[in-house]
Amino acid sequence: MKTSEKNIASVSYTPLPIDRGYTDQILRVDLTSSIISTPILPPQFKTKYTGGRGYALKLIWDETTESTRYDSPENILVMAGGPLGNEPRFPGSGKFIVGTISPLTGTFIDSNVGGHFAPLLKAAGFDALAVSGISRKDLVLIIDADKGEIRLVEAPTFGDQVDGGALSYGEALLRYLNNGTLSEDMAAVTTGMGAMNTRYGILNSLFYDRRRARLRSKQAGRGGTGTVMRQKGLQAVVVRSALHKVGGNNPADKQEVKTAGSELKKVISQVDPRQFRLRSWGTPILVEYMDKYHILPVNNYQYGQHPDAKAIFADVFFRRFLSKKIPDGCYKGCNLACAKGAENITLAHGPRAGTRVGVDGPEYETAAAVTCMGIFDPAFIMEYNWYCDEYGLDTISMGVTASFLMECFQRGYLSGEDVGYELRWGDVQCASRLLHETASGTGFGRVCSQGVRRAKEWVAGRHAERTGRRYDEILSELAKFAMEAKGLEFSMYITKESLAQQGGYGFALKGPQHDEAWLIFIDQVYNELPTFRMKAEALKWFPLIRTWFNAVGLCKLPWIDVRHPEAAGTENPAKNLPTIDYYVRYLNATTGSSKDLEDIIDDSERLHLLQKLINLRHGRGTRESDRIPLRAMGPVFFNEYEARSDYYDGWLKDRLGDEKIPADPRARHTLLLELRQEAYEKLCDEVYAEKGYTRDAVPLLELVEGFGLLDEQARRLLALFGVERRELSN
Amino acid sequence: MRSMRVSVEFHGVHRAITRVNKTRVSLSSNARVRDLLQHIQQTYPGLHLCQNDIMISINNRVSGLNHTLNPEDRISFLPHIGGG
Repeated sequence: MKTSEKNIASVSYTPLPIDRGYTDQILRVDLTSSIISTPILPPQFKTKYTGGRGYALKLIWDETTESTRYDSPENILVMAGGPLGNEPRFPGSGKFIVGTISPLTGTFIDSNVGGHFAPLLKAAGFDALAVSGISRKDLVLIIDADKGEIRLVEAPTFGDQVDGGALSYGEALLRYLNNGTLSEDMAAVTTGMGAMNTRYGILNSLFYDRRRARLRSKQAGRGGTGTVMRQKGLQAVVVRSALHKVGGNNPADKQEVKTAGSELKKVISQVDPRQFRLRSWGTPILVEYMDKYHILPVNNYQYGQHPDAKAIFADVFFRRFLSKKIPDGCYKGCNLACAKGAENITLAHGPRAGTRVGVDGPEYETAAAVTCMGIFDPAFIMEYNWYCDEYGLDTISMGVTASFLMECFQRGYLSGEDVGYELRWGDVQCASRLLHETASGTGFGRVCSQGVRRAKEWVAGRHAERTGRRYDEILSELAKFAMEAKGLEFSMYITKESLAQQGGYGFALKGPQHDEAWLIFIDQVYNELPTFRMKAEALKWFPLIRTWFNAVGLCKLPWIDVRHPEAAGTENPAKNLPTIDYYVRYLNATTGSSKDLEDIIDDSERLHLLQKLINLRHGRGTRESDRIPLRAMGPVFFNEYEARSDYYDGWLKDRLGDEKIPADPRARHTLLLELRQEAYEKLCDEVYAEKGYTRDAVPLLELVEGFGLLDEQARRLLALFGVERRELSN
Repeated sequence: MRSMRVSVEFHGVHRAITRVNKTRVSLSSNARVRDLLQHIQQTYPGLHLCQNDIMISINNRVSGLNHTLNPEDRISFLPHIGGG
């Protein structure tokens, strides 16, 4: 039963109009003091920091310190779209970034998500929302542009089961605030009880879909942004305005926005049905290709392939679960529409067993996270997807942590006594039990809830206690197959056969998430990066262009996964430059700028450097933090080597010649691992040189200064790492 | 002229169109990839095997149209995958 909400603070305001993609105003809410403010940004702010991730980085850089933790009051939870979001004439324009200090990594995390929230926030007059402070009571923030009012209220309650669920609470709240109905012009951001009880809570972006006549959700999944939200005592944010049909950004050149957008849409509609069929099948289509090339992370990334994988190919989900067979975009006007939805899925396990639910997904990452636990049951994938969304859990971090613990059990580091039951690969009952214990913070779920890095330490301590072995020795053994770097769990791609992607994960500023660089196919399959130099160039360029998408409020997929037919004739087809050209034109037509691709890369490099500085400040910025577990480089255990010995032996022969290959397979395995580690170190040297960093991965002072980032904080920080102005030699 | 047999695997979109996972094809012993493509295109007219849209993989290595095939080669067609 709901209770009427108690007002904590409120302000009246008049929404500022959008001009060339910006309102130049942000909304700030401090939950400790209950102060709501609406500062106007100086003109140079957008020039220098672009939007989205850039705005989040600048606020975190200026207003937090090296001692700020995820649960510190001064930590800021930023939600920001960008100048190019909110335009149905251009595909993928509903994205926003959630940026904050992460409970997993202890440094800046950003995670992107679609839906109606960012376009409505901009329409309500704000380029970003920044929440600081901590409230003792659970609160809801309501931004109502129709009434010209922003309110902070005590969170209404609707009963325990609803209040603990991100999806259930979001729907109850939106109905409560809108006379029992749902509307496209209202959106919410929520999270659930799992975010309270773990370090990898997500943030759900909820929006009403008229065609499905229900609330749908997309997730900012990585790094624990939902955990930060709940630690702050913020249960939900609701925004109400009016979605723009077209032209809502008041662009400098409306005709050119229309032309660039329609040209890109034409490429999508012609090419996607022939290449990937994301519009029909969504991202689970990747399962089939990852399985074929030994990239699917089966059993905690031990094996890249499994005979049962065909049970979870995209066409299986399409036939069995996806209902209405309609393209489900996450924002208006996107004709790639890769999000998928299913109705009337009956849950088979857990506290809601027997309930019928609508499921948004699955994405490839969610399906693959289940294979990480050795499970190839599509019905369980749908259920895992829904529960993780409802609890507010990252499907990736949950799956990777659970599978790491399963491998600890397999290899005898954990016992049935430690866990309370047996952790077996491919066991739905066991995976389900661990999921629900994790979300509720009970039983062995309390270990799983901490993520791989902390679970590894717990297991090492427990094993040392039981066996009398040295803790450090056990920890270093576990570290070889604990799939995390910088504290974040790896996303769902095996990198044992792609050095470039090892770098793509290792150098990723937020930790090993593929959205900074996904180079596996270019490197491993297409063989387009045969030299260290080429890998290093790709590891600079791709993260920069990908960062730009996160700054302007756009989805990357129309560029990444729909190859323009004319790209084949260009010098570097993987860059898909003919499609990038539509984006450059859209940017200039919206903001009135006259930038080219080089300018965009420069804008992005500034943001990349700022994130690097934050990482250095928080102890995650040097070469040591770019190290990846041995399993990311090669087969840690002999069983992994044996399963793919033809490839590994071939790799050795290519490098050393037949005569230098040891006859003993175990000696070949040892040699392989030594060479793989050497190769990764060499890649580090090449990439740091390419980026203008020292050998310890610290940016040179001149580079930081060149991008206008050398403030007093940056100068002091760089000096701590021995990076100071170089004297010019005579 | 002597002949040889190769396997062609279909994935994703191509499997949906051909409705088979794999097929065996007989070709002349000096056949190249372009000859195979022509044969496949004739057998499955609904397939779009335009070079701009796909990569051709032979025994899991990307190859060109002029590559000479060998007996028992495994050929598949890949979309351009750029990740998420």
